[in-house]
Amino acid sequence: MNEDGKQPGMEQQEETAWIEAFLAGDRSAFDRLVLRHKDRVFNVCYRMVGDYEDAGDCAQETFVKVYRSLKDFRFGSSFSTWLYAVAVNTCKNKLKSSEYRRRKKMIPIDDPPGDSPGGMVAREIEDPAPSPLAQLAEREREKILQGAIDDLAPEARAVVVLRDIEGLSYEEIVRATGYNMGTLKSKLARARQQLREKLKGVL
Amino acid sequence: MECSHVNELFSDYIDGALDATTRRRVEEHLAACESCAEDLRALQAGISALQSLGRILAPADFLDRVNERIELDTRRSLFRWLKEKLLFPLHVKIPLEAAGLAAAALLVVFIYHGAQQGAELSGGQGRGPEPSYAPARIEAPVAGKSERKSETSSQERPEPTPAQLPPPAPPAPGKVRMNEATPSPAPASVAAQAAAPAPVSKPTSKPTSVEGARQLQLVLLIPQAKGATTGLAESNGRAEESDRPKEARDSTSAFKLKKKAASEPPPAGKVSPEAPSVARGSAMPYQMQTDGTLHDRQATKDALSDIDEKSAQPAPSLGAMRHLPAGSKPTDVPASPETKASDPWKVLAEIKGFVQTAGGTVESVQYSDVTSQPQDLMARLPARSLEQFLDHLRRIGQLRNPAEIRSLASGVETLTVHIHFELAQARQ
Repeated sequence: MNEDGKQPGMEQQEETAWIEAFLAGDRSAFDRLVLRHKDRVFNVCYRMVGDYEDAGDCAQETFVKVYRSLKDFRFGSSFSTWLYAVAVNTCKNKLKSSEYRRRKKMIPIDDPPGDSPGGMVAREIEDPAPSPLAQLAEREREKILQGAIDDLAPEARAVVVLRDIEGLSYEEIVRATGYNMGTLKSKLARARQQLREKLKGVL
Repeated sequence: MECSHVNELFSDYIDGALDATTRRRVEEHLAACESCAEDLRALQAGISALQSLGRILAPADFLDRVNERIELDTRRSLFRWLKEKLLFPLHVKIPLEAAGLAAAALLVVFIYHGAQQGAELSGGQGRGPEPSYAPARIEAPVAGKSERKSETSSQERPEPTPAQLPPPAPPAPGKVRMNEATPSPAPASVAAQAAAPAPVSKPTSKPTSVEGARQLQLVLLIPQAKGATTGLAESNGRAEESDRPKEARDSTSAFKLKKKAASEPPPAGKVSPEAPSVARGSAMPYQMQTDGTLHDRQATKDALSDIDEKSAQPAPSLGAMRHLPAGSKPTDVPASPETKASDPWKVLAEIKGFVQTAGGTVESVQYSDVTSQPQDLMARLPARSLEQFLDHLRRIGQLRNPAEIRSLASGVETLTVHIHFELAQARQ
């Protein structure tokens, strides 16, 4: 959670100061919060919805919600955990929307994500493979994994993304999702088993 | 430990969330069961693959897009707030069915009124264009007053103020106007009063309407026999000249007389048109008389040209029209001691009798406040009797009516006839 190379405690203190400044009327403090967390939120959204445009839409909506409700933020919890909670809920709503489900039934034929060499997803992937062949293999692996995630239920997706991709602890996931510890462990175990079944013989 | 149970613990085992005892038992099972060990390796490979996924970065202009969206959301929120406050202030939501029912009821009422107006317009096509105003019904100033009571004493009945009178209205185009030549009130002699008998009749020049029947307005000129005491104004005027107090003859003391007459009612029981006429006329407040005089200055000037200065009368005042209830019989009319062949009282009785004989009804009779003589008659008459009725009127006096009067009787069963009595000016 410390992308800037800072200690989590220092990062959290800094975010608290920014939030207080924003609530005091400093609009730029919110911009600093966005710049710090935009990639993390965007990645969660992308893994949740599996589409670059939808991920952008969900990530923007997440920050708009944060902007509107930041005055209600309780400083007792971590801002990043709260941000994850907002992002996951936004993505869940997106996945449940009729428009998203209708679009998922349509197969893009011009630029399927992850298939074309110049695809948007490929361009934005951090630390690309050194050779084109390795990039192609990596993109194929990415596609398989994302496909397996997309087959999960939204709740299972959320716990897998938060735990195995974002690396949150059980306690943080409990705070972000509202599940109790037993429910979280059960959901995570079931989701992992489903992924294993789907990825058996592929990876 | 069963394999299925061990598989359920693999997730916690990978995350290190098992207690030491459970972890040791799982490891013992994995050492003995190759299948479960393979499953664990597959699961770990999947999790490792997920953890190795590259992070998808947000677009470079992500912050700008977020800010644009915040601005848009702020505007939408403002619009939403305004819409909620201005357009939907009700906290109690009206059911859609109730709103639809109310709208349907309004539509039905609107269509019903439109149909009624259309029926009225189609019923009056033969009369030419309708006046733009709604003809006002002349209401009785005092409800429940009988004809006889209204004639006994003018002191008993309150004089209406000009505000109570129906306002002057433009004539109805295409209708036979009555009182077109009615001069305005002015200090005049007996002859002048005969020529201008009813200043108070000015409001009645507005045609009254009776719903459901076509209205015919007539002016009946009642002839005066040469040298005879006939008619309303002449008989009254002569009587007034002889009977009223001396000071009343002095035109300069007209206002003074009126003030006195207003305070001195005529002797009770004296049913005579003379004194009451003076009293009634003089009982009018000055302001009303002034108003009446100012109503038509040109007509006043015309009337003054024929005035005998010596017999100048107190100015007739603007008074209220008295109405009789419908169906009043001629016997209700007190006999005038000077009733002659052309007396309006007799004319009124004859017309009433004819109307009743013809199957019609007399709606109302209006009397002049100045002269107390019959001035207007409103009756309903079967259309088939119109010709006979007109002939009857012509035998009584001169009927001032245009040629197209007869056409008004076509297509209807009942006519409302409004007859205005005028005394023809006596000429030597």
